[in-house]
Amino acid sequence: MALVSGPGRGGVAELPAEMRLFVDKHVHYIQSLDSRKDELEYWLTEHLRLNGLYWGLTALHLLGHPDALPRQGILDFVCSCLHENGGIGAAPGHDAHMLYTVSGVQILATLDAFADLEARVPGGRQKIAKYIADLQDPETGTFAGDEWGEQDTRFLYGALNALSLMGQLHLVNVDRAVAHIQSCANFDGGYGTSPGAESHSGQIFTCVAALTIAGRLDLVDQDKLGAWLSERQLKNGGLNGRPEKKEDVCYSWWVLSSLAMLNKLHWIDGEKLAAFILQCQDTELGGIADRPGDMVDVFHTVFGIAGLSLLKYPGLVEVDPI
Amino acid sequence: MAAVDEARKNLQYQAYEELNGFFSNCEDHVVEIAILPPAIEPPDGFLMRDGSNVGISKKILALAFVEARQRFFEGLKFGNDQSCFNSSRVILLFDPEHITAANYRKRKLLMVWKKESGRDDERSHEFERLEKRELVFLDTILTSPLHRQSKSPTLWHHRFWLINLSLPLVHMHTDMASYSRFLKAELEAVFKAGEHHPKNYYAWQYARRLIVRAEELIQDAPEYRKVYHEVRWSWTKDMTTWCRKHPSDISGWSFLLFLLSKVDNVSERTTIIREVMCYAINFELKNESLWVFIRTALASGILQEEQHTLLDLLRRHVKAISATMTEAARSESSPVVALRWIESSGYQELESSRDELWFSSTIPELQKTSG
Repeated sequence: MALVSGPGRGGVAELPAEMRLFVDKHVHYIQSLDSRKDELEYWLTEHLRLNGLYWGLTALHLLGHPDALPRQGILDFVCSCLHENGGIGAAPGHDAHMLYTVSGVQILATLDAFADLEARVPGGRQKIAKYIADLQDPETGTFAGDEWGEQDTRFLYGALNALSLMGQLHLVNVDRAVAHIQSCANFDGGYGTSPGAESHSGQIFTCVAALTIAGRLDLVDQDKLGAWLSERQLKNGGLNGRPEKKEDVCYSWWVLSSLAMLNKLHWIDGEKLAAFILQCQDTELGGIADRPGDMVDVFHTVFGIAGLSLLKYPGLVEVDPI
Repeated sequence: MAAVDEARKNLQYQAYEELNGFFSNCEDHVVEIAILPPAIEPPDGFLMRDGSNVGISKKILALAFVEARQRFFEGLKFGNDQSCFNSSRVILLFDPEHITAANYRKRKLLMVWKKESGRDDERSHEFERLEKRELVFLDTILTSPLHRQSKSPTLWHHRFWLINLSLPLVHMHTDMASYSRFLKAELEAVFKAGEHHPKNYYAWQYARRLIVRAEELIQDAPEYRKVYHEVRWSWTKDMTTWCRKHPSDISGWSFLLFLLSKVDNVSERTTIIREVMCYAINFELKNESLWVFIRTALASGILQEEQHTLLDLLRRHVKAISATMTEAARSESSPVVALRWIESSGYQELESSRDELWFSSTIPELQKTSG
């Protein structure tokens, strides 16, 4: 790898350009996302607006720029997505769903804003917690995404995550949720969306994380799962989500944090992965893409940065794997 | 600036009207929608027709969507059902994860279903009609060559939710032949979606959910048990064929393993897995997904007392090919790596074949992991 330092890049980079994270560019990229109110893009991503806000905010925090987005503006937006029943939608007027409710709670937690919520919506926290808790299936222990009943371990994880952030885990039957995750364990050590489903890195993350929150990591077949996860690394250093899938930066988070929770971060080549993530940056306009050369988006930006943080890339706020 | 905005608004409006008109004309038959590459321009600037199939550019679809969402939310505000229903089609075509649009359609369907479900003596006709049209709409989006749409968790769940409404009634009001045709058609839809979007997690998950649900309902309709088992067996054989044609599709192999675990006769399971193994060995296939299937099938216990037969087959093959391989080649060899994985996977080996473990001790790489 040759050392390349372009003109005008003041200061000495300790790392070669290819190994540099363009922090300022990424901050500007994230800030610019909300300003595109008239662009087509804004409407086209409306159905996940709140998720996008969470991803952007988290990325900024990891990059050490927690104030780069306006706090009041964010809180206003979260409250505008809150339904009477405590559920939160992706954007104003959109139906409530676990996925957006969890993002909403995560945003409030990141901004330490539950008091602000109570000031605007008395009893707001309880309402949200109740909405989430009511989505648990009392028989199977898993969670639906909304009143229409789709059950998926993603929602189980989201629920435990949000409730634990709000100190309301006691509202649900954690033991039953744990038993459900156990029933989703596959022979290869992995987990899927429900019992017998195909092992998938994203679902593995949700199941392992949920077990971590419940303090039951002892139930995981850690060696087997660690082995399955370590098979995700490809020759180019990137990680995929399942056998024979392409590498994708977001798996730097789903796979890596799963390994971190199992204390097996060293089962993959961290240096190669870091190099891969950095190659996925748009070094001109900021943002990170799923793989080198593709279009960037905020989803891959946050998970690429989170992956780098887990790999202890210098200058990033450290993500606590637990 | 104002002129540009006006022009865009017009384009949006027209794009929506064209697409909406297209959907309204094909409510009763499945059509294929494709995204046109930028180089192809439809003569009228909007839709390219080829029989009942249609091509649309990303740009026009996006503009139609912007108009559709406007009409949808306005329709919600002013209670304009027709507008909401129509615009939700365009919304979901562009953005299949738009749960608000999908839920709106569910609400409408549920309302009709509730109104008519009080009558047990005959199937409600309006709901049946709407259900058929909804399935046509879903087929159009899920089985068209639309990469993102064919894997949509929102739409696959929407389909399952819809089927689940009427499935319990099927045993009462449907003859066995129709029941069989219906289930087979569902697998065909999953095949198509699986081809347009390889390793289609949610399509195959839908297939699993359908099987599980069908089995729950069979408990209360034992006279359907035979036909259901026939259909499930036919699914298993069709699935084996599909997987052989798509050996890199991990989701397909995973679903086949799921189906095999439900086959009552263990020898039939062995026959199919042996067939796949011979296919892999004879053609020297290296597809990772195929070998993940083989190693899991051999180690997971679904072969029960017949496990050693196929393990022996693999061991003999590995012995034969390893003799002339370098160490490096062995570590890249799919059968060798699979056998290593099996022997370190903690599988339960039966008494009668315990002697065979000597084999793993004769190959250095295997020695490293099996102890």
